[in-house]
Amino acid sequence: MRIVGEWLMRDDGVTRPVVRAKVVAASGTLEREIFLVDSGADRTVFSARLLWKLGFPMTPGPESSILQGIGGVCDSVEVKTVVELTRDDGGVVHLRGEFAAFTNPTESDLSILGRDVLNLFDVILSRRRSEVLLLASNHQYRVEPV
Amino acid sequence: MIDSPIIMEEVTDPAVIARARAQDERFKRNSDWLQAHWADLLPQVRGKHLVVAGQEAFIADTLEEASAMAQAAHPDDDGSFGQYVFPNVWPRIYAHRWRMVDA
Repeated sequence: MRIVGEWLMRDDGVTRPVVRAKVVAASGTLEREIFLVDSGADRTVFSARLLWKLGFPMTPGPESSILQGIGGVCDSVEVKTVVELTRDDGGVVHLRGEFAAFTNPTESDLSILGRDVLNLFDVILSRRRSEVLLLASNHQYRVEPV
Repeated sequence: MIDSPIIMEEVTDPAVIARARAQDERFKRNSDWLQAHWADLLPQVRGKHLVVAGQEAFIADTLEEASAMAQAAHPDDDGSFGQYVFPNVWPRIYAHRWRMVDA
Protein backbone atom coordinates (compact mmCIF):
# COMPACT_ATOMS: atom_id res chain seq x y z
CA MET A 1 0.00 0.00 0.00
CA ARG A 2 1.38 3.37 -0.98
CA ILE A 3 -0.20 6.71 -0.11
CA VAL A 4 1.40 9.56 -2.03
CA GLY A 5 1.38 13.01 -0.50
CA GLU A 6 3.13 16.11 -1.68
CA TRP A 7 5.23 19.08 -0.64
CA LEU A 8 2.74 21.91 -0.70
CA MET A 9 3.57 25.61 -0.61
CA ARG A 10 1.53 27.46 1.94
CA ASP A 11 0.54 31.12 2.35
CA ASP A 12 3.87 31.94 4.02
CA GLY A 13 5.82 30.64 1.03
CA VAL A 14 7.06 27.64 3.01
CA THR A 15 6.69 24.18 1.48
CA ARG A 16 5.48 21.49 3.89
CA PRO A 17 4.76 17.75 3.60
CA VAL A 18 1.04 17.06 3.41
CA VAL A 19 -1.47 14.43 2.37
CA ARG A 20 -4.92 15.19 1.08
CA ALA A 21 -7.62 13.20 2.86
CA LYS A 22 -11.34 13.08 3.36
CA VAL A 23 -13.16 12.72 6.66
CA VAL A 24 -16.63 11.27 7.17
CA ALA A 25 -19.05 13.89 8.55
CA ALA A 26 -22.01 13.30 10.84
CA SER A 27 -24.27 13.47 7.77
CA GLY A 28 -22.26 10.75 6.02
CA THR A 29 -20.75 13.13 3.47
CA LEU A 30 -16.99 13.44 3.09
CA GLU A 31 -15.18 16.64 3.98
CA ARG A 32 -11.90 17.37 2.25
CA GLU A 33 -8.89 18.39 4.30
CA ILE A 34 -5.17 18.91 3.90
CA PHE A 35 -3.18 17.21 6.68
CA LEU A 36 0.35 18.14 7.66
CA VAL A 37 2.48 14.99 8.01
CA ASP A 38 3.83 15.66 11.50
CA SER A 39 5.90 12.88 13.04
CA GLY A 40 6.46 15.11 16.08
CA ALA A 41 2.78 15.13 17.00
CA ASP A 42 1.56 12.35 19.27
CA ARG A 43 -1.94 12.55 17.91
CA THR A 44 -3.83 13.41 14.76
CA VAL A 45 -5.69 16.67 15.29
CA PHE A 46 -8.41 18.12 13.09
CA SER A 47 -8.53 21.86 12.47
CA ALA A 48 -11.46 23.71 14.04
CA ARG A 49 -12.72 24.43 10.55
CA LEU A 50 -12.88 20.71 9.76
CA LEU A 51 -14.56 20.05 13.11
CA TRP A 52 -17.27 22.57 12.25
CA LYS A 53 -17.74 21.10 8.78
CA LEU A 54 -18.08 17.57 10.21
CA GLY A 55 -21.05 18.63 12.32
CA PHE A 56 -20.56 16.20 15.20
CA PRO A 57 -21.79 17.12 18.66
CA MET A 58 -18.88 18.42 20.70
CA THR A 59 -17.54 15.89 23.18
CA PRO A 60 -14.90 17.32 25.51
CA GLY A 61 -11.77 15.20 25.51
CA PRO A 62 -10.68 13.43 28.69
CA GLU A 63 -8.12 15.23 30.80
CA SER A 64 -5.49 12.78 29.61
CA SER A 65 -5.94 14.02 26.05
CA ILE A 66 -5.40 17.72 26.59
CA LEU A 67 -3.33 19.04 23.74
CA GLN A 68 -0.29 21.00 24.69
CA GLY A 69 1.77 23.00 22.29
CA ILE A 70 4.68 25.32 22.45
CA GLY A 71 2.25 28.18 23.03
CA GLY A 72 0.42 26.44 25.89
CA VAL A 73 -2.60 24.21 26.31
CA CYS A 74 -5.16 24.08 23.48
CA ASP A 75 -8.87 23.48 23.84
CA SER A 76 -9.88 20.33 22.03
CA VAL A 77 -12.67 17.81 21.65
CA GLU A 78 -12.79 14.16 20.62
CA VAL A 79 -14.35 13.02 17.36
CA LYS A 80 -15.09 9.40 16.50
CA THR A 81 -15.03 9.08 12.74
CA VAL A 82 -13.22 7.74 9.66
CA VAL A 83 -10.40 9.38 7.74
CA GLU A 84 -10.25 8.27 4.13
CA LEU A 85 -7.00 8.13 2.18
CA THR A 86 -6.57 7.18 -1.45
CA ARG A 87 -3.75 4.84 -2.49
CA ASP A 88 -1.66 5.62 -5.54
CA ASP A 89 -3.30 2.68 -7.35
CA GLY A 90 -6.74 4.23 -6.77
CA GLY A 91 -7.70 1.99 -3.86
CA VAL A 92 -9.18 3.42 -0.70
CA VAL A 93 -8.05 3.08 2.91
CA HIS A 94 -10.16 3.92 5.94
CA LEU A 95 -8.64 4.93 9.26
CA ARG A 96 -11.22 4.45 11.97
CA GLY A 97 -10.92 5.78 15.50
CA GLU A 98 -11.13 8.72 17.85
CA PHE A 99 -9.39 11.86 16.76
CA ALA A 100 -8.77 15.13 18.55
CA ALA A 101 -9.94 18.43 17.11
CA PHE A 102 -9.09 22.02 17.87
CA THR A 103 -12.04 24.19 18.81
CA ASN A 104 -10.52 27.60 18.11
CA PRO A 105 -10.53 28.32 14.36
CA THR A 106 -7.44 30.50 14.66
CA GLU A 107 -5.44 27.78 16.48
CA SER A 108 -4.15 26.05 13.36
CA ASP A 109 -4.34 26.56 9.61
CA LEU A 110 -3.89 22.84 8.97
CA SER A 111 -5.09 19.55 10.34
CA ILE A 112 -2.26 17.40 11.63
CA LEU A 113 -1.55 13.75 10.88
CA GLY A 114 0.20 12.52 14.01
CA ARG A 115 1.88 9.31 15.09
CA ASP A 116 -1.36 7.56 16.07
CA VAL A 117 -1.85 7.26 12.30
CA LEU A 118 1.74 7.52 11.05
CA ASN A 119 2.84 4.56 13.21
CA LEU A 120 0.78 2.36 10.88
CA PHE A 121 3.09 3.26 7.99
CA ASP A 122 6.70 3.66 6.99
CA VAL A 123 6.90 7.41 6.43
CA ILE A 124 9.24 8.90 3.84
CA LEU A 125 9.63 12.67 3.67
CA SER A 126 12.21 13.68 1.11
CA ARG A 127 12.34 17.32 0.17
CA ARG A 128 15.32 16.59 -2.08
CA ARG A 129 13.30 14.12 -4.12
CA SER A 130 10.04 15.96 -3.56
CA GLU A 131 8.47 12.82 -2.13
CA VAL A 132 5.94 12.24 0.65
CA LEU A 133 5.16 8.55 0.96
CA LEU A 134 3.23 6.46 3.47
CA LEU A 135 4.02 2.78 2.95
CA ALA A 136 2.36 -0.29 4.41
CA SER A 137 1.58 -3.96 3.74
CA ASN A 138 2.94 -4.86 0.30
CA HIS A 139 5.30 -1.89 0.00
CA GLN A 140 8.59 -1.34 1.76
CA TYR A 141 11.67 0.83 1.40
CA ARG A 142 15.34 -0.01 1.04
CA VAL A 143 18.35 2.22 1.69
CA GLU A 144 21.20 1.70 -0.74
CA PRO A 145 24.58 3.32 -1.29
CA VAL A 146 24.76 5.25 -4.56
CA MET B 1 2.22 -5.39 15.72
CA ILE B 2 2.13 -1.60 16.15
CA ASP B 3 0.12 -0.37 19.09
CA SER B 4 -2.23 2.23 17.61
CA PRO B 5 -5.71 3.31 18.67
CA ILE B 6 -6.54 3.76 14.99
CA ILE B 7 -7.84 0.84 12.92
CA MET B 8 -6.84 0.69 9.26
CA GLU B 9 -9.17 -1.00 6.77
CA GLU B 10 -8.73 -1.44 3.03
CA VAL B 11 -11.91 -0.74 1.08
CA THR B 12 -12.76 -3.04 -1.81
CA ASP B 13 -16.21 -1.74 -2.81
CA PRO B 14 -15.82 -0.54 -6.44
CA ALA B 15 -18.51 2.12 -5.95
CA VAL B 16 -16.62 3.66 -3.02
CA ILE B 17 -13.37 3.57 -4.97
CA ALA B 18 -14.96 5.25 -8.02
CA ARG B 19 -16.57 7.92 -5.86
CA ALA B 20 -13.28 8.59 -4.05
CA ARG B 21 -11.36 8.88 -7.28
CA ALA B 22 -13.77 11.42 -8.76
CA GLN B 23 -13.90 13.50 -5.58
CA ASP B 24 -10.10 13.41 -5.22
CA GLU B 25 -9.77 14.79 -8.72
CA ARG B 26 -12.01 17.76 -7.90
CA PHE B 27 -10.20 18.29 -4.58
CA LYS B 28 -6.82 18.29 -6.35
CA ARG B 29 -8.08 20.75 -8.95
CA ASN B 30 -9.01 23.23 -6.20
CA SER B 31 -5.78 22.59 -4.31
CA ASP B 32 -3.70 23.13 -7.45
CA TRP B 33 -5.63 26.31 -8.16
CA LEU B 34 -4.76 27.67 -4.72
CA GLN B 35 -1.09 26.80 -5.19
CA ALA B 36 -1.05 28.85 -8.38
CA HIS B 37 -3.00 31.81 -6.92
CA TRP B 38 -1.54 32.49 -3.46
CA ALA B 39 0.16 35.59 -4.85
CA ASP B 40 -3.21 36.96 -6.02
CA LEU B 41 -4.87 36.38 -2.63
CA LEU B 42 -2.16 37.79 -0.38
CA PRO B 43 -2.05 39.89 1.68
CA GLN B 44 -5.82 40.54 1.80
CA VAL B 45 -6.56 36.97 2.92
CA ARG B 46 -4.36 37.24 6.05
CA GLY B 47 -6.33 36.80 9.26
CA LYS B 48 -9.35 35.58 7.27
CA HIS B 49 -11.04 32.30 6.44
CA LEU B 50 -10.53 31.04 2.91
CA VAL B 51 -12.54 28.45 0.98
CA VAL B 52 -11.67 27.32 -2.53
CA ALA B 53 -14.51 25.91 -4.61
CA GLY B 54 -14.89 25.68 -8.36
CA GLN B 55 -11.33 26.97 -8.64
CA GLU B 56 -12.41 30.24 -7.07
CA ALA B 57 -11.53 31.80 -3.70
CA PHE B 58 -14.08 32.88 -1.11
CA ILE B 59 -12.73 35.01 1.72
CA ALA B 60 -14.57 36.06 4.88
CA ASP B 61 -14.04 36.94 8.54
CA THR B 62 -15.71 33.75 9.73
CA LEU B 63 -15.51 30.18 8.47
CA GLU B 64 -19.31 30.01 8.39
CA GLU B 65 -19.44 33.01 6.05
CA ALA B 66 -16.69 31.75 3.75
CA SER B 67 -18.30 28.31 3.54
CA ALA B 68 -21.74 29.76 2.83
CA MET B 69 -20.37 31.92 0.02
CA ALA B 70 -18.59 28.94 -1.56
CA GLN B 71 -21.62 26.69 -1.18
CA ALA B 72 -23.90 29.29 -2.78
CA ALA B 73 -21.58 29.78 -5.75
CA HIS B 74 -20.65 26.12 -6.29
CA PRO B 75 -23.25 23.90 -4.62
CA ASP B 76 -22.19 20.82 -6.58
CA ASP B 77 -18.44 21.03 -5.97
CA ASP B 78 -17.66 18.23 -3.50
CA GLY B 79 -13.95 18.95 -3.90
CA SER B 80 -13.97 22.30 -2.12
CA PHE B 81 -11.77 22.87 0.90
CA GLY B 82 -10.66 25.71 3.11
CA GLN B 83 -8.38 27.00 5.81
CA TYR B 84 -7.75 29.85 8.20
CA VAL B 85 -4.88 32.02 7.00
CA PHE B 86 -2.66 33.23 9.81
CA PRO B 87 -2.36 37.02 10.03
CA ASN B 88 1.41 36.90 10.37
CA VAL B 89 4.26 35.25 8.49
CA TRP B 90 6.28 33.87 11.37
CA PRO B 91 8.07 30.53 11.46
CA ARG B 92 5.51 27.89 12.42
CA ILE B 93 6.13 24.99 14.75
CA TYR B 94 3.42 22.38 14.53
CA ALA B 95 5.35 19.50 16.00
CA HIS B 96 5.21 20.39 19.68
CA ARG B 97 1.73 19.17 20.38
CA TRP B 98 1.54 16.11 22.54
CA ARG B 99 -0.76 14.24 24.82
CA MET B 100 -0.32 15.07 28.48
CA VAL B 101 -0.17 12.12 30.79
CA ASP B 102 -2.38 12.14 33.85
CA ALA B 103 -0.90 14.35 36.53
